[in-house]
Amino acid sequence: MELGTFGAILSFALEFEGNITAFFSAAADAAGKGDAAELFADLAKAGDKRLKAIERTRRENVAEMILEPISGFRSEDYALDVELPAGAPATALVAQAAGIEKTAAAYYTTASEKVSVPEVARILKKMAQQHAAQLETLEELG
Amino acid sequence: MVKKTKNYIDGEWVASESKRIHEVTNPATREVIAEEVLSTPAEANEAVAAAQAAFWEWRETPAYTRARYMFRWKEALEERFEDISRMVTMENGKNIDEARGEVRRAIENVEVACGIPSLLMGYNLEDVATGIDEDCIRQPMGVFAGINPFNFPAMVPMWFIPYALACGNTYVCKPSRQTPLSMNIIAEVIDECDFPPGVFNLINGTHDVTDALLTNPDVQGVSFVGSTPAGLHVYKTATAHGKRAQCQGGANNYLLVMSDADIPGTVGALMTSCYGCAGQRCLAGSVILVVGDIYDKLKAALVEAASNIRVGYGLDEGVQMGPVISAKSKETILGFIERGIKDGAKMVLDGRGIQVPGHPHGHFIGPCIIENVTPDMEIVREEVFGPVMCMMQVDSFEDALEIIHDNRYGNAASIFTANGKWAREFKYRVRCGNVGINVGIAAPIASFPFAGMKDSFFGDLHGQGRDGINFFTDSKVVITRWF
Repeated sequence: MELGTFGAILSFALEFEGNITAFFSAAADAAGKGDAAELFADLAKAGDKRLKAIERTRRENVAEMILEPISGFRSEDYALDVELPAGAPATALVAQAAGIEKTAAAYYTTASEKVSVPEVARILKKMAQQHAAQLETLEELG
Repeated sequence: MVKKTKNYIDGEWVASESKRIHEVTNPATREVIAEEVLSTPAEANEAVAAAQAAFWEWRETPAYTRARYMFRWKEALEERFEDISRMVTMENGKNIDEARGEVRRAIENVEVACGIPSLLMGYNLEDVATGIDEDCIRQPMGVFAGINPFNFPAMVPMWFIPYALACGNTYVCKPSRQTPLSMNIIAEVIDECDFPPGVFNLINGTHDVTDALLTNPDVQGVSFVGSTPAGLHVYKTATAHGKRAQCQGGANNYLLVMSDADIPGTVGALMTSCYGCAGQRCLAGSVILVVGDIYDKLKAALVEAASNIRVGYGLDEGVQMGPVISAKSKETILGFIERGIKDGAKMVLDGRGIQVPGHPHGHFIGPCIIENVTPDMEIVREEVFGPVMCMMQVDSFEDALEIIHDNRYGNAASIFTANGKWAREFKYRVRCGNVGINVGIAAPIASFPFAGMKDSFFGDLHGQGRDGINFFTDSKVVITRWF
């Protein structure tokens, strides 16, 4: 789907972040005990916070004057592998999570460049940075 | 079973006695989404009576307390933000981003009204003569009424209501017959905020309800947004009955593109201006006046951009333009285009036959671009209120101003240029109320008045901001001496 409007970008981000958060919640349960499980639980909490921030951003920053169309941004380019394989060991889940974080960082980086409202771009850039930092943490754990 | 609207009078939701029903339809699907019961003039007068009864106690409520109601109302509106936005799209047709933008602007007026303790302050001077002091205070007046348009069903009523209530007045709101449901949700929110009964009232109805409000002796003032003929009727009737009135009428807005304009930025702005809300806004750009040798380059860029606008059902994320409000509206717009072509205009981009997959019954018109027009043509002079852009080459800045000033409307105008001198000249001289410099929709934010001149506005004080405070209050001068 073309993400050609402010709303489309942020609505997709809500769905996107929702899927990521759901993955981390499920991964935390699947990983049982240990560092990976703890990290996944923390990442799920961080995802919840980001969901609230995205919803608030969409609600507070839609400036009617600036709804100019956006081009060259498609949701298909940011497909996530959030399906939890049954019985997967923690290391496999960490590797899968790293892939998700990489895609997420890329999405928010592009989104921040596409949106013309500076406050929104700032928030999206911050989310990109958060996902990049989470990727680093996962890679260190792996 | 489709829901029937009720009126909100004296803190209660009350079913109207009327048997007259207007079906509220989704312009994209033609589905009936509610039945609006068209109230009687007697019921309108009951709403006024409730507002009048509630006035004195509300007026005596401290400004800080009224401000706290505004804060509470703002938060409650944020909770229902998405609900209201979706309803705006379903009953009006605009895309969901436009609807959210509208609701954001509506809430901004409540945010400004939260500052009423400062906004309502008067001024004074000691010893105007020896031992004699003089104060000017602003006082609320009583019951105010609002008559609202279809195109911004959540936002436009909120240009008025927050200021009216925050100043200590009480209110009767009549939403548009075509799009009453968004304001009905806002009334639910007001109900949840526990405003004293009668402070805010909502009456669904049509012309006879409007006339009842205009002639009721307890109504102190009326706010109106709509067409110029209707605005003139409201203004004349209200003022003849001793009321103050602020009536925002129609528009036909010119966008002047100078030869040094930034083309990509200008094209983006013109897309929003001419096709945002399917052109159904009093700030929409209608006529592009091009000065200099950029006409062909600009035209090509506009055609490409307009051709790429995704037309569809506004609740689908990514749709950039929804339908027009009704079959009648579509017919009117198509009539303007046909007569324009007969007058000699040429279709450059023809959106008339657009088909939207999945929505065969919607009132869709795709973006249209027309050239070979002259200033005296109907399609250039009159308000089309649809997604139609006329392009005209003009010889000079002066010629462009003459064309703009020759039009009877004076709502908005914009210039696109990189030259400060042209921008300043335009700002200084153009006789329009809402002026854009490299901005296609010059929509004043809540703390500024929504201006308008000539046949686009009747009255002295506009909606929003300080104008709003002044409209909803009267000055009282008190001169004091103590023996």
